Amino acid sequence: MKLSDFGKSIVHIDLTTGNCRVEAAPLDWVEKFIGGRGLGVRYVLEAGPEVDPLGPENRLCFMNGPLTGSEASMSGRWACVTKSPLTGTVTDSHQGGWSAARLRWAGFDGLVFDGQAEAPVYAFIEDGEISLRDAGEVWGQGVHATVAFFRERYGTKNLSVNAIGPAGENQVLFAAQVNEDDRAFGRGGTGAVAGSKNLKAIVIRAGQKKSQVPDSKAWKEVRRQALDTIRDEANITSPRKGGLSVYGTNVLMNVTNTIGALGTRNSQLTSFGERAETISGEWVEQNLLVNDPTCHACPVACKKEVEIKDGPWAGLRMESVEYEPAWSLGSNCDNSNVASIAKVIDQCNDEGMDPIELGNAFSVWMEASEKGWVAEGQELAWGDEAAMVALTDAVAAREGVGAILADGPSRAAESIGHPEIAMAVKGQAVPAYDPRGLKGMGLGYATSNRGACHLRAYVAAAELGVVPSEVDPLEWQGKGELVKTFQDLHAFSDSLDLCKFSAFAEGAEEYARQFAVAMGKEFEAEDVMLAGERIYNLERYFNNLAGFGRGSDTLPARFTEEPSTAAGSKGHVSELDRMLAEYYAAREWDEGVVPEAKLQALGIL
Amino acid sequence: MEIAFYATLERLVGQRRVELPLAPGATVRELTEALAANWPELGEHLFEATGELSRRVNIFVAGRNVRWLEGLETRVGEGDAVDIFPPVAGG
Ligand code: SF4
Repeated sequence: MKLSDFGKSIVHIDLTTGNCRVEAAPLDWVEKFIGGRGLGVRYVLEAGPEVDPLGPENRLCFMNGPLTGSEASMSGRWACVTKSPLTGTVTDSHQGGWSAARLRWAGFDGLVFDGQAEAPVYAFIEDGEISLRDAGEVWGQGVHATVAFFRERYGTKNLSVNAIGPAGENQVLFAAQVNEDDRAFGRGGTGAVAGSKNLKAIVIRAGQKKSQVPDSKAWKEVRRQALDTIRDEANITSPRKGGLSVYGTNVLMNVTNTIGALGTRNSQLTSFGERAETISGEWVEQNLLVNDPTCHACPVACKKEVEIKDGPWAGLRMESVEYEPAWSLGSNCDNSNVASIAKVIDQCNDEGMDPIELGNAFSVWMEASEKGWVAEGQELAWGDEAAMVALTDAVAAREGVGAILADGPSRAAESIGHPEIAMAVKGQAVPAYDPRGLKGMGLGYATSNRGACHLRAYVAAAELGVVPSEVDPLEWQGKGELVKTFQDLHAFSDSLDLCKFSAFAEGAEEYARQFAVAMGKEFEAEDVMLAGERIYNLERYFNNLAGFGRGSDTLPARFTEEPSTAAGSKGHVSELDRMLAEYYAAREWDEGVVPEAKLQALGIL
Repeated sequence: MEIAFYATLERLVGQRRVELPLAPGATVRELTEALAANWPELGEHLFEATGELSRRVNIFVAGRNVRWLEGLETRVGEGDAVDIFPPVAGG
């Protein structure tokens, strides 16, 4: 497995005709857009920014990065890139586990699906071969049953299954794809696109392959340097010592609650008070944790497997009670019972849905019910756990109120004439950091190219004092440049494709060194930032062409007009307009639109 | 005065909350010195060799990181919650 060969084996699958062919990606695309997210966006742009996301002309790309499947730490990731049916923007979502690594070991760098199969199919990949096979037997099945079916058929050894559940088949607009039972391409509705194409699963069988690089001594050395930073006890990634490793992502719950940045009751409040404790990572670790699974080549092992011991869901064993769903289904819905949160997350894994979007759809409906805007018999009370569990199935099946919520919180709020109660940007729901208490995160939500997103510019790392470039979370000044820097850095790491959490220890230097040695070429930290900037601008160019013009970067008025009432951020709102002015100046954009000169300077046009 | 510890610092101290015999108006310097005297291992986490507040802790008084207030000279007012975290983030 020669790492510098990356990009030479992209499989194009026409689902309409069943034809599969392997082609090299254009060399200048690989040079400019690196791999993973960047290269995937370039392929999706080629299909056209104006396509119907659920029509056969939309393109569904699964793209590895040049480091995927190698021995580099945290390199078990790939990007799924398509035009989102939820937002109408380009979207990319990333998955941990082993599917990405196995695709590389099987001899491929990416999969580009076009068209629409006449009947349900799955792609089977092994030893440099790909075939489309009949998925009739698993159509209608959940992800867990689908994975079990393929394990039965192909054995468990070296097998990864990435599948959609009923939500994807029914084109729930925030349907996910899940591999290894519980690692998802979570956001943006990539599962609905797979469902629209009748693509049930991608099944890959491949054992580990060793990387070949021009200088194996240097390769060992740069990997050791990166691993040392990941292991450093000062970093949250430090195995079994750092907060992320010990408690998983939900180590965040108590701190965002403390600083008044934990949206509660559909962000009407900014803290969950003492009730945050029972949905926190500490509580889960002390009461429910049974295992710490990991992904390919990752010593951090942030995944947390839990077992529910009592109550109606006793015996449920699942992973993971991540921070995002613990918030979206927890404080956001006024629910402090982690057992019901675990239950709904597991339903989302099985039915193939994004629990961030689902929790926000619930909280919209709860606020609407409280205010009397919902038809009689369709109400949903704050914190009604049994109703949330039942409604999750109904959303996946598009039944009853579930059919309304299946189109996401923005459309659900619009359907009752109150779009203002959807906490969403460009149609995608906000995640778990209230922009009144973490101002840079708000700017990140507004300017994310895939709709509201915490991961495109994870400036929380600076605002929470995790990385050395720490900043005051309540200060708006300086956030424009900061958000741009984080967006560009993450655009690059998402293209390598390394786990986002590597950035809690590594930076542009470590990325550049590993990439340079793997590819056998010169590459410096400044090249990392330039490539990241190019990829971010490419996405924005796609969105501009898809109809997102001036003034598209917004936040819900609740964040800019209703002051926080909780300690830590009391009295604060998001100063979005001021931050946006700074940001556009740093980006050299015209009110959110990339000028032609900028596209040319970056080599996009 | 009650102080709360979270995540790996809760493990280190062995409990979520501790009581210190300090009156409202005490500074964070007084508070951290009292903590270091009672839990020497915690003390190593609280301070850099230079005596400055360590990057390995974030101390919040009434929800504000003291780094953005007066640092070690920040005063803890009547009723102000004091919460001490290691650096934490996730996704
Ligand atoms: S940090 Fe967590 S999500 Fe990232 S690669 Fe490791 S186990 Fe997977």
